[in-house]
Amino acid sequence: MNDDLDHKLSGLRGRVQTVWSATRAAQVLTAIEKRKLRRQQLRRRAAQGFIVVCLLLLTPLLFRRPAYESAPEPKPEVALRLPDGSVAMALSPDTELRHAESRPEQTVLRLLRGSARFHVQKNPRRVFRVEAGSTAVEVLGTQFTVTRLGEFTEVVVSQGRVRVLWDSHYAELAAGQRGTFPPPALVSSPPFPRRLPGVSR
Amino acid sequence: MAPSPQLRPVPPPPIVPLGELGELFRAYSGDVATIAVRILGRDDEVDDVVQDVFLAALSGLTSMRTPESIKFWLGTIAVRKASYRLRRRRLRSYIGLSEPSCPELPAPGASPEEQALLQRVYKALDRMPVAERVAWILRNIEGEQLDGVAKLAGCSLATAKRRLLAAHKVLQRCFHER
Repeated sequence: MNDDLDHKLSGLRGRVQTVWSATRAAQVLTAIEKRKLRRQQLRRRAAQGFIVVCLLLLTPLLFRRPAYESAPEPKPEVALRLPDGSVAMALSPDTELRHAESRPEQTVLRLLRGSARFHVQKNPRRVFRVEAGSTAVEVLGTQFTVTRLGEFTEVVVSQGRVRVLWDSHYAELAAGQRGTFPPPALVSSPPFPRRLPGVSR
Repeated sequence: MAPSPQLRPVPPPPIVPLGELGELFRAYSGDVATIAVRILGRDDEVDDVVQDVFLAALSGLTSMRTPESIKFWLGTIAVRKASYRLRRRRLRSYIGLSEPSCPELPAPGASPEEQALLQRVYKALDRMPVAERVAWILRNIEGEQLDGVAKLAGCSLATAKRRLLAAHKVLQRCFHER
Protein backbone atom coordinates (compact mmCIF):
# COMPACT_ATOMS: atom_id res chain seq x y z
CA MET A 1 0.00 0.00 0.00
CA ASN A 2 2.77 2.39 0.99
CA ASP A 3 4.83 1.45 -2.05
CA ASP A 4 1.80 2.03 -4.22
CA LEU A 5 1.33 5.52 -2.74
CA ASP A 6 5.02 6.33 -3.14
CA HIS A 7 4.88 5.18 -6.72
CA LYS A 8 1.86 7.37 -7.38
CA LEU A 9 3.44 10.38 -5.70
CA SER A 10 6.70 9.98 -7.57
CA GLY A 11 4.74 10.45 -10.79
CA LEU A 12 3.77 13.96 -9.70
CA ARG A 13 7.31 15.30 -10.03
CA GLY A 14 7.34 18.44 -12.13
CA ARG A 15 3.60 18.30 -12.78
CA VAL A 16 2.70 21.58 -11.07
CA GLN A 17 3.57 24.37 -13.46
CA THR A 18 2.60 27.96 -14.04
CA VAL A 19 2.14 29.56 -17.41
CA TRP A 20 4.88 32.14 -17.35
CA SER A 21 4.34 34.06 -20.55
CA ALA A 22 6.37 37.01 -21.79
CA THR A 23 3.38 39.31 -21.26
CA ARG A 24 2.96 38.18 -17.68
CA ALA A 25 6.68 38.53 -17.03
CA ALA A 26 6.64 42.05 -18.49
CA GLN A 27 3.73 43.02 -16.22
CA VAL A 28 5.51 41.69 -13.17
CA LEU A 29 8.73 43.46 -14.18
CA THR A 30 6.85 46.75 -14.53
CA ALA A 31 5.32 46.24 -11.10
CA ILE A 32 8.77 45.54 -9.65
CA GLU A 33 10.15 48.75 -11.19
CA LYS A 34 7.25 50.71 -9.70
CA ARG A 35 7.77 49.16 -6.27
CA LYS A 36 11.49 49.86 -6.55
CA LEU A 37 10.82 53.54 -7.31
CA ARG A 38 8.30 53.73 -4.48
CA ARG A 39 10.82 52.16 -2.12
CA GLN A 40 13.50 54.66 -3.16
CA GLN A 41 11.09 57.57 -2.59
CA LEU A 42 10.16 56.14 0.77
CA ARG A 43 13.81 55.81 1.75
CA ARG A 44 14.52 59.38 0.61
CA ARG A 45 11.58 60.67 2.62
CA ALA A 46 12.64 58.65 5.63
CA ALA A 47 16.16 60.08 5.34
CA GLN A 48 14.77 63.61 5.05
CA GLY A 49 12.51 63.02 8.01
CA PHE A 50 15.42 61.66 10.00
CA ILE A 51 17.51 64.74 9.19
CA VAL A 52 14.64 67.06 10.15
CA VAL A 53 14.15 65.23 13.43
CA CYS A 54 17.89 65.38 14.14
CA LEU A 55 17.92 69.11 13.41
CA LEU A 56 14.91 69.65 15.65
CA LEU A 57 16.59 67.74 18.43
CA LEU A 58 20.02 69.33 17.99
CA THR A 59 18.99 72.96 17.44
CA PRO A 60 18.13 73.65 21.08
CA LEU A 61 21.43 72.07 22.11
CA LEU A 62 23.43 74.18 19.63
CA PHE A 63 21.84 77.47 20.58
CA ARG A 64 21.51 76.85 24.28
CA ARG A 65 23.34 79.29 26.48
CA PRO A 66 26.09 77.63 28.44
CA ALA A 67 24.96 77.10 31.96
CA TYR A 68 27.54 78.92 34.01
CA GLU A 69 27.28 78.56 37.68
CA SER A 70 26.81 81.94 39.21
CA ALA A 71 29.54 82.70 41.64
CA PRO A 72 28.26 82.87 45.17
CA GLU A 73 27.97 86.39 46.42
CA PRO A 74 30.68 87.05 48.95
CA LYS A 75 29.25 87.06 52.43
CA PRO A 76 30.03 90.27 54.23
CA GLU A 77 32.63 89.69 56.84
CA VAL A 78 32.06 90.93 60.38
CA ALA A 79 34.70 93.57 60.91
CA LEU A 80 33.64 94.67 64.35
CA ARG A 81 31.18 93.50 66.97
CA LEU A 82 30.29 95.76 69.87
CA PRO A 83 29.24 94.57 73.36
CA ASP A 84 25.64 95.88 72.88
CA GLY A 85 25.15 93.73 69.78
CA SER A 86 25.82 96.39 67.15
CA VAL A 87 27.79 95.00 64.23
CA ALA A 88 29.94 96.50 61.50
CA MET A 89 30.47 94.33 58.40
CA ALA A 90 33.20 94.91 55.84
CA LEU A 91 31.83 95.06 52.28
CA SER A 92 35.20 95.16 50.49
CA PRO A 93 38.42 93.32 51.19
CA ASP A 94 40.42 96.52 51.76
CA THR A 95 38.08 97.82 54.46
CA GLU A 96 39.84 99.19 57.47
CA LEU A 97 37.71 100.10 60.44
CA ARG A 98 38.88 101.14 63.86
CA HIS A 99 37.18 101.49 67.20
CA ALA A 100 38.10 105.06 68.10
CA GLU A 101 36.06 105.65 71.19
CA SER A 102 33.77 103.64 73.43
CA ARG A 103 31.89 105.37 76.21
CA PRO A 104 28.38 104.77 77.63
CA GLU A 105 27.09 107.92 75.95
CA GLN A 106 29.09 107.70 72.71
CA THR A 107 30.62 105.06 70.43
CA VAL A 108 32.91 106.24 67.65
CA LEU A 109 34.17 104.08 64.81
CA ARG A 110 36.58 105.32 62.21
CA LEU A 111 36.43 104.05 58.63
CA LEU A 112 39.87 104.57 57.20
CA ARG A 113 39.18 102.98 53.80
CA GLY A 114 36.80 100.62 52.04
CA SER A 115 33.14 100.17 52.78
CA ALA A 116 31.19 98.89 55.76
CA ARG A 117 27.59 98.26 56.73
CA PHE A 118 26.45 98.99 60.24
CA HIS A 119 23.66 97.36 62.20
CA VAL A 120 23.24 99.55 65.24
CA GLN A 121 21.13 98.55 68.24
CA LYS A 122 18.71 101.27 69.36
CA ASN A 123 19.94 103.15 72.39
CA PRO A 124 18.55 106.68 72.93
CA ARG A 125 21.14 107.46 75.60
CA ARG A 126 24.10 106.77 73.34
CA VAL A 127 25.40 108.41 70.18
CA PHE A 128 26.76 105.98 67.60
CA ARG A 129 29.14 107.77 65.32
CA VAL A 130 31.06 106.61 62.29
CA GLU A 131 33.78 108.92 61.07
CA ALA A 132 34.96 108.66 57.49
CA GLY A 133 37.45 111.35 56.60
CA SER A 134 35.85 114.73 57.11
CA THR A 135 32.36 113.19 57.29
CA ALA A 136 30.69 111.71 60.31
CA VAL A 137 27.49 109.74 60.55
CA GLU A 138 25.54 109.76 63.80
CA VAL A 139 22.70 107.40 64.57
CA LEU A 140 20.55 106.17 67.36
CA GLY A 141 19.50 102.81 65.98
CA THR A 142 19.56 101.84 62.30
CA GLN A 143 21.29 100.00 59.48
CA PHE A 144 23.41 101.92 57.04
CA THR A 145 26.45 101.59 54.82
CA VAL A 146 29.39 103.93 54.71
CA THR A 147 31.81 103.82 51.80
CA ARG A 148 35.00 105.81 51.43
CA LEU A 149 35.31 107.26 47.92
CA GLY A 150 38.59 109.09 48.16
CA GLU A 151 37.92 112.41 49.90
CA PHE A 152 34.17 111.81 49.66
CA THR A 153 32.01 109.41 51.63
CA GLU A 154 28.87 107.69 50.43
CA VAL A 155 26.18 106.93 52.97
CA VAL A 156 23.27 104.55 52.23
CA VAL A 157 20.56 104.09 54.84
CA SER A 158 18.72 100.74 54.97
CA GLN A 159 16.65 101.28 58.12
CA GLY A 160 15.97 104.11 60.51
CA ARG A 161 17.44 107.56 60.18
CA VAL A 162 20.96 108.97 60.35
CA ARG A 163 22.53 112.34 60.62
CA VAL A 164 25.54 113.04 58.40
CA LEU A 165 27.94 115.73 59.51
CA TRP A 166 30.81 117.27 57.59
CA ASP A 167 32.75 120.43 58.31
CA SER A 168 30.12 122.68 59.86
CA HIS A 169 27.18 121.16 57.93
CA TYR A 170 24.86 118.30 58.51
CA ALA A 171 22.11 116.41 56.69
CA GLU A 172 19.63 113.78 57.69
CA LEU A 173 19.01 110.66 55.65
CA ALA A 174 16.01 108.41 56.09
CA ALA A 175 15.64 104.73 55.15
CA GLY A 176 16.20 104.18 51.43
CA GLN A 177 18.13 107.43 50.95
CA ARG A 178 21.74 107.77 49.94
CA GLY A 179 24.12 110.70 49.68
CA THR A 180 27.70 111.60 48.95
CA PHE A 181 29.44 113.85 51.42
CA PRO A 182 30.65 116.49 51.39
CA PRO A 183 28.39 117.35 48.44
CA PRO A 184 30.77 118.91 45.90
CA ALA A 185 28.30 121.60 44.76
CA LEU A 186 27.28 122.63 48.25
CA VAL A 187 30.57 123.20 49.90
CA SER A 188 29.79 126.93 50.19
CA SER A 189 26.16 126.44 51.22
CA PRO A 190 24.91 127.87 54.53
CA PRO A 191 25.53 125.68 57.52
CA PHE A 192 23.05 123.16 58.91
CA PRO A 193 20.54 122.80 56.06
CA ARG A 194 17.60 120.60 56.91
CA ARG A 195 17.49 118.99 53.46
CA LEU A 196 20.15 118.86 50.79
CA PRO A 197 19.66 118.46 47.02
CA GLY A 198 22.60 115.99 46.98
CA VAL A 199 20.47 113.58 48.95
CA SER A 200 18.49 111.17 46.81
CA ARG A 201 15.91 108.54 47.58
CA MET B 1 52.24 15.90 -28.68
CA ALA B 2 48.62 16.69 -28.14
CA PRO B 3 47.47 16.79 -24.52
CA SER B 4 45.38 13.91 -23.33
CA PRO B 5 41.64 14.60 -22.87
CA GLN B 6 41.95 14.11 -19.10
CA LEU B 7 44.44 16.97 -18.81
CA ARG B 8 42.43 19.44 -20.81
CA PRO B 9 41.66 22.47 -18.61
CA VAL B 10 38.06 22.84 -17.55
CA PRO B 11 36.64 26.14 -18.82
CA PRO B 12 35.56 28.42 -16.00
CA PRO B 13 31.84 28.94 -15.59
CA PRO B 14 30.52 32.09 -17.25
CA ILE B 15 30.23 35.02 -14.96
CA VAL B 16 27.04 37.01 -15.02
CA PRO B 17 27.24 40.64 -13.98
CA LEU B 18 24.50 41.38 -11.48
CA GLY B 19 23.36 44.91 -11.85
CA GLU B 20 20.71 44.89 -14.47
CA LEU B 21 17.39 43.81 -13.01
CA GLY B 22 15.92 43.30 -16.48
CA GLU B 23 18.53 40.74 -17.54
CA LEU B 24 18.32 38.89 -14.27
CA PHE B 25 14.55 38.85 -14.43
CA ARG B 26 14.40 37.60 -18.00
CA ALA B 27 16.83 34.81 -17.19
CA TYR B 28 15.39 33.54 -13.91
CA SER B 29 11.83 34.78 -13.37
CA GLY B 30 10.38 31.56 -14.85
CA ASP B 31 12.31 29.39 -12.39
CA VAL B 32 11.29 31.57 -9.48
CA ALA B 33 7.64 31.45 -10.57
CA THR B 34 7.77 27.65 -10.82
CA ILE B 35 9.12 27.26 -7.28
CA ALA B 36 6.52 29.71 -6.01
CA VAL B 37 3.55 28.00 -7.65
CA ARG B 38 4.65 24.58 -6.43
CA ILE B 39 5.02 25.72 -2.84
CA LEU B 40 1.86 27.83 -2.82
CA GLY B 41 -0.25 25.36 -4.79
CA ARG B 42 -2.10 28.19 -6.53
CA ASP B 43 -1.37 30.63 -9.29
CA ASP B 44 -2.94 33.83 -7.99
CA GLU B 45 -0.12 34.74 -5.60
CA VAL B 46 2.80 33.82 -7.84
CA ASP B 47 3.24 37.29 -9.34
CA ASP B 48 3.48 38.82 -5.88
CA VAL B 49 6.09 36.28 -4.78
CA VAL B 50 8.15 36.89 -7.94
CA GLN B 51 8.04 40.63 -7.23
CA ASP B 52 9.10 40.06 -3.63
CA VAL B 53 11.95 37.78 -4.69
CA PHE B 54 13.45 40.16 -7.22
CA LEU B 55 13.04 43.17 -4.97
CA ALA B 56 14.83 41.30 -2.20
CA ALA B 57 17.47 40.17 -4.69
CA LEU B 58 18.13 43.78 -5.74
CA SER B 59 19.68 44.55 -2.38
CA GLY B 60 22.04 41.58 -2.79
CA LEU B 61 23.21 42.45 -6.27
CA THR B 62 26.65 43.53 -5.22
CA SER B 63 28.90 40.77 -6.45
CA MET B 64 29.44 38.71 -9.56
CA ARG B 65 27.88 35.27 -9.47
CA THR B 66 27.82 32.27 -11.75
CA PRO B 67 24.45 31.43 -13.38
CA GLU B 68 24.06 28.30 -11.24
CA SER B 69 24.70 30.13 -8.02
CA ILE B 70 22.30 32.90 -9.04
CA LYS B 71 19.56 30.37 -9.75
CA PHE B 72 20.13 28.65 -6.41
CA TRP B 73 20.35 31.96 -4.56
CA LEU B 74 17.07 33.16 -6.10
CA GLY B 75 15.58 29.76 -5.27
CA THR B 76 16.34 30.20 -1.57
CA ILE B 77 14.73 33.63 -1.64
CA ALA B 78 11.70 32.22 -3.46
CA VAL B 79 11.30 29.44 -0.87
CA ARG B 80 11.52 31.98 1.93
CA LYS B 81 9.03 34.39 0.36
CA ALA B 82 6.57 31.65 -0.60
CA SER B 83 6.76 30.19 2.92
CA TYR B 84 6.03 33.62 4.30
CA ARG B 85 2.98 33.90 2.02
CA LEU B 86 1.79 30.48 3.13
CA ARG B 87 2.07 31.38 6.79
CA ARG B 88 0.29 34.67 6.18
CA ARG B 89 -2.46 32.92 4.26
CA ARG B 90 -2.96 30.46 7.12
CA LEU B 91 -3.02 33.24 9.69
CA ARG B 92 -5.57 35.21 7.68
CA SER B 93 -7.67 32.12 7.28
CA TYR B 94 -7.37 31.39 11.00
CA ILE B 95 -8.63 34.83 12.01
CA GLY B 96 -11.29 34.75 9.30
CA LEU B 97 -9.86 37.42 7.01
CA SER B 98 -9.76 35.29 3.87
CA GLU B 99 -11.70 32.33 2.64
CA PRO B 100 -9.74 29.09 2.56
CA SER B 101 -10.76 28.68 -1.06
CA CYS B 102 -8.77 26.19 -3.09
CA PRO B 103 -8.49 27.31 -6.70
CA GLU B 104 -7.70 24.79 -9.36
CA LEU B 105 -4.15 23.57 -9.16
CA PRO B 106 -2.09 24.72 -12.14
CA ALA B 107 -0.91 21.47 -13.71
CA PRO B 108 -1.16 21.99 -17.46
CA GLY B 109 0.36 18.70 -18.62
CA ALA B 110 -1.24 16.42 -16.05
CA SER B 111 -3.88 13.81 -16.82
CA PRO B 112 -7.24 14.02 -15.01
CA GLU B 113 -6.14 11.27 -12.61
CA GLU B 114 -2.93 13.11 -11.84
CA GLN B 115 -4.92 16.34 -11.39
CA ALA B 116 -7.15 14.61 -8.87
CA LEU B 117 -4.18 13.15 -7.05
CA LEU B 118 -2.45 16.52 -6.93
CA GLN B 119 -5.58 18.09 -5.46
CA ARG B 120 -5.63 15.45 -2.75
CA VAL B 121 -1.94 15.83 -2.06
CA TYR B 122 -2.14 19.60 -1.73
CA LYS B 123 -5.19 19.30 0.49
CA ALA B 124 -3.14 17.03 2.74
CA LEU B 125 -0.20 19.41 2.57
CA ASP B 126 -2.47 22.17 3.87
CA ARG B 127 -2.82 20.17 7.08
CA MET B 128 0.89 20.06 7.92
CA PRO B 129 3.30 22.73 9.13
CA VAL B 130 4.71 25.03 6.45
CA ALA B 131 8.30 23.86 6.92
CA GLU B 132 7.33 20.20 6.38
CA ARG B 133 5.16 21.08 3.41
CA VAL B 134 8.01 23.06 1.80
CA ALA B 135 10.48 20.24 2.34
CA TRP B 136 8.12 17.65 0.84
CA ILE B 137 7.35 19.81 -2.20
CA LEU B 138 11.01 20.56 -2.85
CA ARG B 139 11.82 16.86 -2.70
CA ASN B 140 8.82 15.33 -4.47
CA ILE B 141 7.40 18.01 -6.78
CA GLU B 142 10.50 20.09 -7.46
CA GLY B 143 12.69 16.98 -7.57
CA GLU B 144 15.58 18.31 -5.49
CA GLN B 145 18.18 16.05 -3.85
CA LEU B 146 18.20 15.90 -0.05
CA ASP B 147 21.08 18.33 0.35
CA GLY B 148 19.38 20.66 -2.15
CA VAL B 149 16.21 20.54 -0.05
CA ALA B 150 18.21 21.39 3.05
CA LYS B 151 19.98 24.31 1.40
CA LEU B 152 16.88 25.73 -0.24
CA ALA B 153 14.89 25.44 2.96
CA GLY B 154 17.76 26.92 4.97
CA CYS B 155 18.10 24.03 7.39
CA SER B 156 20.46 21.17 8.13
CA LEU B 157 20.32 17.88 6.26
CA ALA B 158 19.06 16.08 9.38
CA THR B 159 16.27 18.62 9.81
CA ALA B 160 15.31 18.31 6.17
CA LYS B 161 15.11 14.51 6.54
CA ARG B 162 13.04 14.81 9.68
CA ARG B 163 10.64 17.20 7.98
CA LEU B 164 10.32 14.95 4.95
CA LEU B 165 9.55 11.96 7.14
CA ALA B 166 6.96 13.89 9.11
CA ALA B 167 5.32 15.13 5.90
CA HIS B 168 5.31 11.64 4.45
CA LYS B 169 3.57 10.29 7.54
CA VAL B 170 0.88 12.94 7.31
CA LEU B 171 0.33 12.15 3.66
CA GLN B 172 0.09 8.41 4.35
CA ARG B 173 -2.40 9.04 7.10
CA CYS B 174 -4.48 11.26 4.86
CA PHE B 175 -4.53 8.73 2.07
CA HIS B 176 -5.32 5.83 4.41
CA GLU B 177 -8.20 7.71 6.00
CA ARG B 178 -10.15 7.55 2.81
